[in-house]
Amino acid sequence: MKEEKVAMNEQNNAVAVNESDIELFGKQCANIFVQVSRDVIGQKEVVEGTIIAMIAGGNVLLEGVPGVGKTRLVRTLGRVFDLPFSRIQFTPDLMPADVTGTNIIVKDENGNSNFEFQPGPIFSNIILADEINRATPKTQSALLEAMQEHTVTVMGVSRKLEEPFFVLATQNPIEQDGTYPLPEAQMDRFMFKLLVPNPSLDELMAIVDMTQKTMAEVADRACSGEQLLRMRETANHIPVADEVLRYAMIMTSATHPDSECASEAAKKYIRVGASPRAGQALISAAKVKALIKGRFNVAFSDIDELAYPVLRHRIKMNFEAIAERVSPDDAIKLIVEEVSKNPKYKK
Amino acid sequence: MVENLLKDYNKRLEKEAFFKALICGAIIGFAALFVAATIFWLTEFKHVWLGAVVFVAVTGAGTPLFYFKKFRPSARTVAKRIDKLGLEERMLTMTQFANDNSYIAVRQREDAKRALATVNPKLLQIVISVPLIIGLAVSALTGAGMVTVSALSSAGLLNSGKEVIEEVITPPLEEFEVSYDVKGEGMIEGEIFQIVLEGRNAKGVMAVADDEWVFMGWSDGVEDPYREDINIQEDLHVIAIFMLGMDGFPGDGEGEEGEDPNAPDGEEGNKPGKEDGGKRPTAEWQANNQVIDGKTYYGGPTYDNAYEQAMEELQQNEEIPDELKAIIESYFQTIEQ
Repeated sequence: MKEEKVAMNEQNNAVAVNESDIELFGKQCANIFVQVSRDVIGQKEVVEGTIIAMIAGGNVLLEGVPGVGKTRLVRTLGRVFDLPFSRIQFTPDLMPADVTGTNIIVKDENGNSNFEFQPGPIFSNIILADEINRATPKTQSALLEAMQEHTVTVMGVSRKLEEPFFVLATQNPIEQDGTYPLPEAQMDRFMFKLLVPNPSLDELMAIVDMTQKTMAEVADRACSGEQLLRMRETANHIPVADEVLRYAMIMTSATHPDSECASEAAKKYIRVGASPRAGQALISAAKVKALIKGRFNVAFSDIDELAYPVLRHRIKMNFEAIAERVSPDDAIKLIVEEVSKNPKYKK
Repeated sequence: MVENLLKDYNKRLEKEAFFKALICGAIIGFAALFVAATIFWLTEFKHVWLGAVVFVAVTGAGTPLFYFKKFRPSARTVAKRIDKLGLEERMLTMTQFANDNSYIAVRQREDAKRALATVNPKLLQIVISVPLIIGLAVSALTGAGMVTVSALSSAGLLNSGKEVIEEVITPPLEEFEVSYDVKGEGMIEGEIFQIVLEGRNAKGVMAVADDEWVFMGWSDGVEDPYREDINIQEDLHVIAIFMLGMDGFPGDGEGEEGEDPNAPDGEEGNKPGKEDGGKRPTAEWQANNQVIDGKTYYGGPTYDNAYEQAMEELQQNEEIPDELKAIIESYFQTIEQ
């Protein structure tokens, strides 16, 4: 088993990762952070989370009140990664075809009418799904295939989306009238759900100072789409010790109230736990996070830190949690504490 | 290569493992000592020092067993311990991918080595868990305590286990009251009130009549004035019955005085006169079981059979009315007493 793993690892490495990849990863990461910080003041955790998810190939759901810089962040990232960028403003009357595109009738030179596929805004590399919860479930679900399979099927024809492909969606947690909460299946397709907080006083002063001078976004290109894919490939090769892998899976299972390693918090507050995608997301993101930190292995602490953005939108709280005003983050905190303090989970 | 890298740390953890194994060995050693001492105590075995031999043997055998089967540190366990010093699973990953020669694995090893160089092996402290120490203390206390008990028992200062068990197993004997009383003029020599355990014997007592009174017998039919009740199984209350002697015994007819051939010399005994019809108590009867002038008058109950016979006849005779029967019965009972 162990030998097989080593063999597989060697096979993977045979097609990838050398010294220049590692150096490139470090340089580009540093550059990405620098460039993003030119346009986005503060929000370090949100920026870091978004960049980790993008390198790991995941979609991100940004939740925050209006005006905290969600859309600006996404636009900046599009420019920093030098990738085509589409913005879809989700509204209740938005139709799936408005997202995916549709077949239209065109006449050729001979005057014959033919169907021709007119790609929708989803045919881009970075999609900003602004206020995603304002669209109807039917339109929201138009994104499902694109987010998971990176393909779009219209009129029975499946079309592959160009890599890298990300959906960065935003939603407002306050104005809930006329919104359609995202279904679990779609939530699960977001690698991270990041909470965008209000800026601190100093950050607010810096934002106002900057925007008084110019509203223009000044971030430069930091890396290309190809380089981003290369960075993802590099991160995928980061070794993960069996104990750490097991720990991440225990963290995921601990959110299930009826699993063998269910945590007390899950038993008390959670109705439905996280799916296996959460485990995959934890490990993929932890590899990127480790490499960003300059480490060539995943640590328990990476898993602990990433548990919040990976799990918070994947767990369904029960009535008791709602009654006691226990948020998903509160429950995850309890789960992380319980799992990290249990020595048998780190064996 | 990894083993060389972890050599210093491994040595420290081997030490720790040895101590842990020794403690576990000692725990089972003390447990064996406890068992041996208990057996010695129960069987009244005198050579308590053999317990020490048992302790040493079991500890000696158990320690290497625990060391090699449980505590001996592997490269992974050493790596995990080092990682706890802030190395963020670098050593754990390094040991798992020690044979991986891919570029990233090599870089990981280099990174791990760099991080390891910043950690002083002395920071890896020998840690013995609290439950182990508590286990050792408890087992030592019980083992040593039992040896002490066994030693004191063999020295005769404490009851042996056998005795204790017998005491515990045997149900406590019930206590019964044995009392002797008198009716008439006389006394009882000896303890008239005794508490006697079930199945045991009461102390002997002697009924002694006053002058002009004679001992008639005990209320339970025993005629011998000396009695020693044996195998007591219930409360016993008996009365020594004394009656006025022969001179004062009221006859119901004027009989002639006759000579009692069994009467002591110089004494005229009463014997039933003609008019008594043989019903009046005789000297012989009255002297039954009495000691007069050093001579004991033995003889069976004179009236016992007569009383029973009369009662039987009375019961069988249907011609006598019930009222009359009651009067006659009362009369006979008076005589019987």
